Amino acid sequence: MNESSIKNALGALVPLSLFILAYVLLSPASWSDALRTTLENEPGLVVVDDELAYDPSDLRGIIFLSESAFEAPMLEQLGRVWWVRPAGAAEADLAGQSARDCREAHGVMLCLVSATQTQTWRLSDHLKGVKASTSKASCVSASSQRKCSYGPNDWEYMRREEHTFAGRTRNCIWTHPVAGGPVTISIPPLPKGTYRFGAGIDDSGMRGELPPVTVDFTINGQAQTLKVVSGARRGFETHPLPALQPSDQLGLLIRAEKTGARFFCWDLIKK
Amino acid sequence: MMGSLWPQTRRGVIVLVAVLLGWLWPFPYFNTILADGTINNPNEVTRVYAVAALIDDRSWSIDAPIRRWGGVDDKAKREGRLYSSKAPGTTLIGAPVYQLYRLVGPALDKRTLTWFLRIIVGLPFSLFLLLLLRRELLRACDEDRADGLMLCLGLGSMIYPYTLVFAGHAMATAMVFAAYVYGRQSDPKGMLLFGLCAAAAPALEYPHALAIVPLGLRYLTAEGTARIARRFAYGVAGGLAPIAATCWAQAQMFGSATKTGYSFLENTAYKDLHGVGFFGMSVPQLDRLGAAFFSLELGLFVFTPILAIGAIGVLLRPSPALRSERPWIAALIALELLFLATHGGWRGGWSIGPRYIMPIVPFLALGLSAWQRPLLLASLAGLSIILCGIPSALYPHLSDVFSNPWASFVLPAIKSGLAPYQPGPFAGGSEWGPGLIVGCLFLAAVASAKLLGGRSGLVAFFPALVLASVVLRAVPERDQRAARLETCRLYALWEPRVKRPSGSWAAAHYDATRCRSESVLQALPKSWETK
Repeated sequence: MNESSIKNALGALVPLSLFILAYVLLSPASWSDALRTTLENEPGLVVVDDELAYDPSDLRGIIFLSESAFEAPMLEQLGRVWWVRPAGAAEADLAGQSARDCREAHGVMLCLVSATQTQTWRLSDHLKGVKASTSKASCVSASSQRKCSYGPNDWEYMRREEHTFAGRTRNCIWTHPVAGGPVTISIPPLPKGTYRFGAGIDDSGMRGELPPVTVDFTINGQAQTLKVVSGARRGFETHPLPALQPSDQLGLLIRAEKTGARFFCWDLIKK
Repeated sequence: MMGSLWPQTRRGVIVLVAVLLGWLWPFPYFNTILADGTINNPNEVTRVYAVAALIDDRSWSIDAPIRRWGGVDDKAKREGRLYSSKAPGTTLIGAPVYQLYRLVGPALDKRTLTWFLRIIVGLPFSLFLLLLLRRELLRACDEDRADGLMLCLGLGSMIYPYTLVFAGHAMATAMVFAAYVYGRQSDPKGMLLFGLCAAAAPALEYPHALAIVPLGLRYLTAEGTARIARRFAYGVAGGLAPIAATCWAQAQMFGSATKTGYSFLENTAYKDLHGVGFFGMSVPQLDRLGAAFFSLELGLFVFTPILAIGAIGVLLRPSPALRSERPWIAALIALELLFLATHGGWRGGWSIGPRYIMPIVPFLALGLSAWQRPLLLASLAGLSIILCGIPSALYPHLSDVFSNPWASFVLPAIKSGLAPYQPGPFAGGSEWGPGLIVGCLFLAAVASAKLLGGRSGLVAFFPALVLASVVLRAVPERDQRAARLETCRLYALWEPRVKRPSGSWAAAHYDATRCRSESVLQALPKSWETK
């Protein structure tokens, strides 16, 4: 290459860079265009998950709200809304309703949330009869709202409570691990269906170098290969469970090496 | 002999005017207390209140300005009265200047007083710093490089955001650097000026007493052991005024010349922070230095990447003019970094760059005078003006909630048309949007790259900008939910206030970007509703 061709190449670098720069900085996320197409066919309010990174100026022309500004009465008023979430986001509720018809494309998950859909079955709403036991004590839950204490300490009980995971609040079954052994949960036979196990450590317990909580599963007393490790990172994560037969009894063994501030909370969700 | 501080060439003057325009045009202001809240940067507001209290209310206590203008953090409380907890230097300099104005004019409101103190009191220190730095650079480089670096450092380093707010950081930095420059003179006048500047630096920001230690040792011993006592006497004589004024102010506020506001902090969180170890300093933590230099949220070398090669230049490849100073500069930098690594409050909350080590900026810049690779120098100079200059002009209080403020807030804010007061404190100018400021800073970046690297340097700047943009857009937030809520809060409380548009869809978008739902629901077609 001679000097003039080098100069020409350098000269071309400036407009090329400006073009790429404009593309990088000004082009909207690909999912916003796809969302517009969807809304042309099925219009509705778009709720954008607070976990999704987006530039509000990319959503001009779309009527949207951030998840934190959306409230349950709005869902009742509208009947249904679109919920845009990060691809692979964990199962969660919007205004008390679970998302359905979720589909992933362009790096996001688009779900429909309806006010009239059937309530999702969760074990936290049906705790009556679930047994919790440790080497020190055991109890059988009388209702989801009442404490079922399985140890001498104030925090050693099972009950449905509201906790916050990665900033998102949800109902779940509080079961703090105990020192020196597992908390064994025995669940009466469940309604027919497939289930997911969800668990996490409340945000207020995500501090220090505490080891995670581990959960082992049994079905009719037989140990399963599935093991859930919870608390290594923030959030409420769900995992599929093996298929259950109508008479199967599911058991959980919840344990932690160190029990301080392990604000463990879990649930079973019917798919 | 030292030459004139002022540029002697027409281009030098033009570059200086460009920098001054960049300092004077935007007026980022976020302190008005309104019904829906405020963003109140205590680092600045408490200093403004202290000046107002001293002149308008004839009191060291800031109780009256708080009643008049609303609450502020960073206070000290003694015997039921509230005081600024900051080092008193900014008050001691700002108050006489404001008093002079009061001889002819009425008391200023909060916004105008803030503008007055930024421009009339703070800005001259930054100008002095920049001119001193240019003259020092000229000892080892040509006019092209000196002008290019003046443009870059004036609009693309921490000097810019801390010129735009009335805080002590840029003022203290000017004093530390002036102490370094004047102490080099071997005559009594040099030691007097050294003493004055060296004592003024901690009076403006207490921690910078550390930076003065190596400079003091260097200049006391400059003429051998026989003259130490004489030089010490001149140094002390020079420093007498700022030392006496600081002790007097502290005695007035805190009952003892040796007590600082940090002994009386009102905010318990700050009290805990400063109560640990020795004045808040304990075991050094190296990760703080990593974050202070390289993190997207705060990193000195991220916002002003040219200083990374400045560091190499001053510490590893100094120019002949700098070679004998290198150990002392290294010691100064090391002590500043030691403070940062050991202090629990090292992050400093809302900030552009690690402001507690701002005095190292001009010293790192000295290393650029003899740098041998003009393409790298030019591209990083242009980048520095873009990465540091634009957020500084728009919003020099970047929240510590963001781990990637450029992607989460700065770029969306520009695209949404948010702008500061401009020109100066004129609110109406915000309707012009940020385009003029961004455009002018882009031109400054191009000019700086051209001056430092010629045509090739200019060409090198553009791919570097593309690369930086790709990286900044690709790095995700650490806590996206918190970043979203913070972005909504900043949009909602942006000043000058942005009017809600009249069209229903535009109003819905306006409210949605602020995480509010009123207009959004009103904009929804009735056919969408089930009830």
